[in-house]
Amino acid sequence: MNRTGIIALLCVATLPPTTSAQVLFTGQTAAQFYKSAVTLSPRAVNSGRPSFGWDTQLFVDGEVSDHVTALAYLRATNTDPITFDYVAIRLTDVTPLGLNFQAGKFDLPFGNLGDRRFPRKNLLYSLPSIYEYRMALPDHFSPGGDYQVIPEREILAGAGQGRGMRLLDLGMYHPGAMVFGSAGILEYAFAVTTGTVSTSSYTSDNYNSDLGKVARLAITPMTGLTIGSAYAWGAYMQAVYPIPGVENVNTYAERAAEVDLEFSRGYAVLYGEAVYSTFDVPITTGDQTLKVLGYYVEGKYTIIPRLYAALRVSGLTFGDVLAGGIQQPWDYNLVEWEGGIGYFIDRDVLLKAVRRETRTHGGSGPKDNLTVLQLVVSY
Amino acid sequence: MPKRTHRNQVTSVILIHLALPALMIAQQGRTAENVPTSSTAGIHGRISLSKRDDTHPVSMRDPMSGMYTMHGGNGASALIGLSPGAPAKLSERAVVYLESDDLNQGPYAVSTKNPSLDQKNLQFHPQVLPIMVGTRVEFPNRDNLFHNVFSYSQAKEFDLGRYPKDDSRSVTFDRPGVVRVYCDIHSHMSATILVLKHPYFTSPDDSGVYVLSRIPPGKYRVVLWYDRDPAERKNVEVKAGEDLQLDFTN
Repeated sequence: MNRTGIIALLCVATLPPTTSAQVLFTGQTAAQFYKSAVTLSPRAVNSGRPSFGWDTQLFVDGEVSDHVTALAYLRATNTDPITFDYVAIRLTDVTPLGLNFQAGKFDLPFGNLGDRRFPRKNLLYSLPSIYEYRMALPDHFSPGGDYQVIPEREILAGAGQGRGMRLLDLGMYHPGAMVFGSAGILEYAFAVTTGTVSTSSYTSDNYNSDLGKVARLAITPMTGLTIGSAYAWGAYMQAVYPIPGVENVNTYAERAAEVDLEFSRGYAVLYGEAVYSTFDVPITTGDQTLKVLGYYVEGKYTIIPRLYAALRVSGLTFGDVLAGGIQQPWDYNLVEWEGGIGYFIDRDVLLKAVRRETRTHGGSGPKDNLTVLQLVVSY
Repeated sequence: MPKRTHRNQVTSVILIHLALPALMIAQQGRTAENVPTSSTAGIHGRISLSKRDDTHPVSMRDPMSGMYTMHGGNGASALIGLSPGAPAKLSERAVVYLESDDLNQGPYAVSTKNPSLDQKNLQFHPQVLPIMVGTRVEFPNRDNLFHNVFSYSQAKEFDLGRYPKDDSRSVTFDRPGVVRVYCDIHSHMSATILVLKHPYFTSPDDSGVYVLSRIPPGKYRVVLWYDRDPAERKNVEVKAGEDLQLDFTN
């Protein structure tokens, strides 16, 4: 648990007992059994051994006044240490324009994943592959990923290895500041952070001298339909070693554009998101720009009270890079299906049975599957 | 054929004789202006909830979706910057009803006018709705976003799906019991429907005054239900022509 998070939690928990202050503690805990195929695929879980796992989230928010709220979200899993993903102070409706302001660590206004990142609202088990799948481009957490000039062969050697950075880093929680608001059917947000959408920062430190910038605009033309779009840009590499020549890591940027859609009516809900991202990379044979298109569409249909079925199709399609004198994709294309059913034992107790199928290299490469039985309790 | 018609006529007469008084009771049970007749009784009083925090605004906060994920649609963004809701009126949060095995025998006619459980300003109105078994309840959406009303209660399990403003769905409650109602999209929204076997229930006015009239003489337990749970029970005996005063100071 980092020190900032502990301090924030203590601040929220020790709010003065004024008549207007309210502190809410809520949470959810998931326990799951999972078994993946025994493959070398990066999507294989625990080398294919049947396993039990758990994760838990604790939400604390203190309403200091009508316009000031302190928020903290603590997460822990069987594989990750206790982490404060979200620690922020939010000022709402503080200007005549109705602008809201938030500072701390929070989820970037990029995409429409929303509360589906939490097990209770996740229709299935995994996050869409654009949030989870690790690409060939090494990140600073990857083994050997702290070099700055990437050997040509490393880009291709990393293909399908599942060691690099994600297209969108899980929930994309970053330290930063954000203004946001709405005007009629429009919603808008602009955030400046210490990381980019692909490189979350678990600490308050910036990895380079640049800041990530994210702008989002969404429109709700009719009830049940929201169309959003976002653009993010910023340097994404770690400034550990100097880059040869006059350039430095700050000139190597990531640029990501996305569109998303949410539609619901009756017993059906549909979500979709497409992200096109480019990464400027210093490759030994000359700078190149890596391109990738990620997407997913997922839907849910409530069959009868308590019982729903859900399906997601997601994927990543990689652009070409010049390596070994020939143009070739810098990673294996990925297509993933995930389907399942959910049954509410109680309003706050959800049982999910999920099956995931992963295909890489255009369908002819490594295959993987995952079967999960998950129980989620919210409180 | 004529014989069958005659039987139908006889049945109809019996039903009318049974149903009319019951219908009168059902329609009168919730009105203050009805004075007990010489063969029935009444109970009236005032509800004073001195121990309860009835002045604090209702929290609109939705920790799972509204506070931590403002970019996820589902109307979550509507919660951001929204002023806390005004506290629900006492008339929407409290119900007084009688408990007695004798009253459960019936038969009683169900009102033909369907009561409503509105979804407005991200709250249910009222928050406690007393009805009689067999009543059909309307669930109109008054907000400019989707709601998804559902219940997993044993007395009635339903899921109305998502529908827009000024649209409505309805449910007939055919079993007695407590039905907890929620919105699948806005988890802070909740209401309770009390499905009773008899029509002897009422809601107070906003000052806490309630009136139960046209009650058959007998021994009863008078229950004050507040928000999600019974708040107080009192045993009483009412005699024909009597108008008993019974206050609740919970």
